[in-house]
Amino acid sequence: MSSKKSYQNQNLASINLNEFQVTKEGNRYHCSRNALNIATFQNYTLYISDKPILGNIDPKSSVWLDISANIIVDQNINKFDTLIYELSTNLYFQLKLNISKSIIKSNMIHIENENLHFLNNFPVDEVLYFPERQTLYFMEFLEKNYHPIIYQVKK
Amino acid sequence: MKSTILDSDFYIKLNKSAFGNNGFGDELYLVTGETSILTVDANTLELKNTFTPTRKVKEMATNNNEIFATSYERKVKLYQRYDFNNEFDLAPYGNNYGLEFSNDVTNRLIQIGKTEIHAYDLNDLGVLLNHSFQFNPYQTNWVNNNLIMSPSGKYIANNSKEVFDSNLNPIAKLESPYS
Repeated sequence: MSSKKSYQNQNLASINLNEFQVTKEGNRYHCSRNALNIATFQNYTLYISDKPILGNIDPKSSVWLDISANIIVDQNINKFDTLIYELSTNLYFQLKLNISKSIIKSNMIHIENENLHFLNNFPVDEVLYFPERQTLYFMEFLEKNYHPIIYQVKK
Repeated sequence: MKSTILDSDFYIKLNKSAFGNNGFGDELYLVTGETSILTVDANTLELKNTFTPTRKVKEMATNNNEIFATSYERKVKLYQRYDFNNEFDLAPYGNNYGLEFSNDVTNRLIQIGKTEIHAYDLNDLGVLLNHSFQFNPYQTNWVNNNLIMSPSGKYIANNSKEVFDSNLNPIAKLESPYS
């Protein structure tokens, strides 16, 4: 107990993850945080989810984009990119720092993907693209036959 | 960004598809069951025509200039949009060749098979004016279909990941990082 207090006293000033930032460039997300200098550093984990990240998450029990986790073991790495092909209009990012027996959470970043549109729920088995019309034609597979559905996108 | 969704009222066994404007507005051409070519209004999905060629349709391409080409086994057949029954053959070479029209040379039909790549220059009525070919050094598959022409017309690739330029020269055979 005394060692934990000692640790907190020594490192509290430098353990500030609230400068965690994420910027988006296409499908690439640039993540950065303030520099760390912690003697008891073990690793930090970047969590990415399509829902706000809760406190007691277990990435091993979740499916991709319910939540995903990248574990980084070098505290000198404070900028990194991650490539995501979104399946959600909302993405949430959060860093969790693992030091000794403590976990410190960063601020949570929410990025909205305005270019992603979800259609009504129907199974799509084939997609045709008509470039001159900027039109997608979706083929729904029903009872061993394809059923053409037009989905026209206009900018 | 706005979007609209529209249902068709028909069901097909989709084998091949193509788009184009062959003098009757924007149309979607669908091969069903390797037997029939459906002509569908690209705006409304209304079924405008059903045509059943004398041979099965494994491949289909259109040049946006009223000509259709289809292939099955050793045959390449040409049709004109205004009268699908006006059918005639190109000289047969090899087996199961994929088809696509060039994007930079009017009325040039490209055909890739295992052993050769061919170019057919046609006039507006589909009459053969010139034919040239080169050997395919990759010789990956007997069935080379799903040809894709780059928008510029400079490159063409097939499902065997073989890439050629517009002069029929082999450029590369791409390797999958997962193989």
